[in-house]
Amino acid sequence: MAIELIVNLLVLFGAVFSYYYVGTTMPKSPVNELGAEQWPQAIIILLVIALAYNIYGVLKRGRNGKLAESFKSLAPDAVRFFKSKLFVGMSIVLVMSLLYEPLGFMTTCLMFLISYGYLLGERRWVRLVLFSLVITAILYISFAVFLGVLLPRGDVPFLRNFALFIESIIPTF
Amino acid sequence: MDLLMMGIEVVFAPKMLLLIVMAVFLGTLFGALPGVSGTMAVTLGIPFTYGMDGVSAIAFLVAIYCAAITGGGMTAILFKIPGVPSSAPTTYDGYPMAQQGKAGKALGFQLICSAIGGLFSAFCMLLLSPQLTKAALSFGPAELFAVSFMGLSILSSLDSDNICRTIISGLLGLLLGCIGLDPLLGVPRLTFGTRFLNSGVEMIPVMIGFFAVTEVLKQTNKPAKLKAVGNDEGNNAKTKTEMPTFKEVWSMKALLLRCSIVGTLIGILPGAGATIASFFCYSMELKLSKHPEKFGTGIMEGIAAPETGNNAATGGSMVPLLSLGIPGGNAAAIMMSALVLKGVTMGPLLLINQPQYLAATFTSMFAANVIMVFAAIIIAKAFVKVLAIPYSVLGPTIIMLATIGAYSTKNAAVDVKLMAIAGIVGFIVVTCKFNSSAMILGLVLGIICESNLRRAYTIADGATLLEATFDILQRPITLVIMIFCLIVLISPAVKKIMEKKKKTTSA
Repeated sequence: MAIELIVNLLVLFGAVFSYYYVGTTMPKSPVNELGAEQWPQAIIILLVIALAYNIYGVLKRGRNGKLAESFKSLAPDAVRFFKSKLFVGMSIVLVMSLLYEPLGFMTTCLMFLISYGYLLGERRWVRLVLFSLVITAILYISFAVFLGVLLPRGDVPFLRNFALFIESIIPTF
Repeated sequence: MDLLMMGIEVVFAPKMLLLIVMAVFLGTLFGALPGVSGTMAVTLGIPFTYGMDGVSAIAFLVAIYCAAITGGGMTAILFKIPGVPSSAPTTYDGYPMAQQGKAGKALGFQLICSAIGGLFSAFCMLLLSPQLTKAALSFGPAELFAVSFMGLSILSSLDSDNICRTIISGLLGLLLGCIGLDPLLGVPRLTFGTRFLNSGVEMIPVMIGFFAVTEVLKQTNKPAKLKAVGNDEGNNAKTKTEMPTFKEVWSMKALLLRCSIVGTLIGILPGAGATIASFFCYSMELKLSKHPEKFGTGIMEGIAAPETGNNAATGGSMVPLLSLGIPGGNAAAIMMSALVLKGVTMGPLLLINQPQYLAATFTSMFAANVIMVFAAIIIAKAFVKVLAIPYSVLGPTIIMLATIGAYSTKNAAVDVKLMAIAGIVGFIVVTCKFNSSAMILGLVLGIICESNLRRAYTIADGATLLEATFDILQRPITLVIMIFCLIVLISPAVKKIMEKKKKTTSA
């Protein structure tokens, strides 16, 4: 409940800021035409009304001390979240997205499959690495070689050369 | 007839036919995997289309979509886990049938009914789309705005228990659609000085993030394996699909016809899709049945109704997409994005200038629904083994497939980052009980709505905005559609208030 309230309030502040931001940065429109700022501003007005109603609903549901209780457990919940598999999973996905181009598809995919597989409970290392290698090879060969989809080879010279080597040994049709 | 010949020419070319067979296998497999919805199956199919032209791409994606909706029923029957949300009602009677040792019969019936629904809607699409296109050609920007607004008006009906949150989600999607260069003036809007946002929020990475990454994140804390009914080891390889006899199918002709018609009509409605169609058909048949008490105990009608309805909705959802350029649902929205990426201009002129799109979609749907029956028999045997693959392998592979799809949109790493962020935001959205489908609907339709509305105001007579609004509303088609939209938009809220009042009065 506390998280819901915080998210709603953050969106509300963001919406109010965006209302003024779009109003000041867009050129003034003629009086009989719908300008570039009016459509987003109309959406924001409706959004603010809906958010206010939703916040009222959260506050109403949080009476009888429920909301206060929820705020009290916010800190322990946050600590639990940062220690959870979910947070680690989110971090792995984010790191993978950042390394995708510099390290190239093959290295990123292999590292991602191993780390996420481990996170999801696979503890047999040989099996995990073997599966990851096979899936990486299948994905790379299917998409980059057979379907002609451009996948990043990486900015690191030896990784790039390795990707080029793999592509050169597979016959294309 | 010309359209049909054109479609056969496109789809039955050896390479295309092979691609459709591949799409059917992929789609059935994706659909059968719990956690991979029909929309996600189409999303995961996008990277395969990058090397294709627009016509082949739509034929391929349509085949995946049809097959995924059917594949979802298999897990519903064998595991009581709907592979796709639209297969949820199939579990009510499919699983009890499997428990009674009639899993093969249930699977066979599910396949035949899915094929009947799919074929019926494909024919409807072929007949209706050109007529709707002809009517749509007389539409001006005001009418086109009203039609696209009709898609948005369904927002309040998407989740009747959470109307306010669903509307907030839709509005957030609309606001996201405003980011980037203004469609008419070409000035940066809501970009906060960042050049990365100038091209706007790319739809495909956001959709992939919302549907694929969020789903895997949601499953991160869940058990890794599934068990098939009647076998503790999860090894159900002996399950053999048993096709129903002609007599059995014929005995349900009225039900099949009703559900095919209703499913197609629901599919045509923007925003309503296969899930609504299957639930609606199930409850409709329950009400019409002479023995409603038997529903839920494992009867054929309980499988036939939702499976015919959800597959009929697939064809229906393609009607507004092809004839008006308005997606009928999430999967259609993704197909639309994939086509736009290929430089195809969606709208009424598409079928006039390039009728091969309708022809290819119809023939692909037709071929997919026929091939699907045979493919699914093979897959039904094999996929129990696929499901035995632990999620520790399957989950990360889904994310990597999604990553390929996001990156290949523009060969830009920024889209992979956008996908990752969208996945995390999607998770927060779900946690806060907002509706990610509504957000996507807002994002896709917002751009179409805004450009048409602003064009309508530019053309309209009036010294002020208010006068121009009256001028726009004087157009009869616009007025009728807008009144309809208003009714659709407020009716769930009114219904809820009435129910509350009734409860208070009776208390």
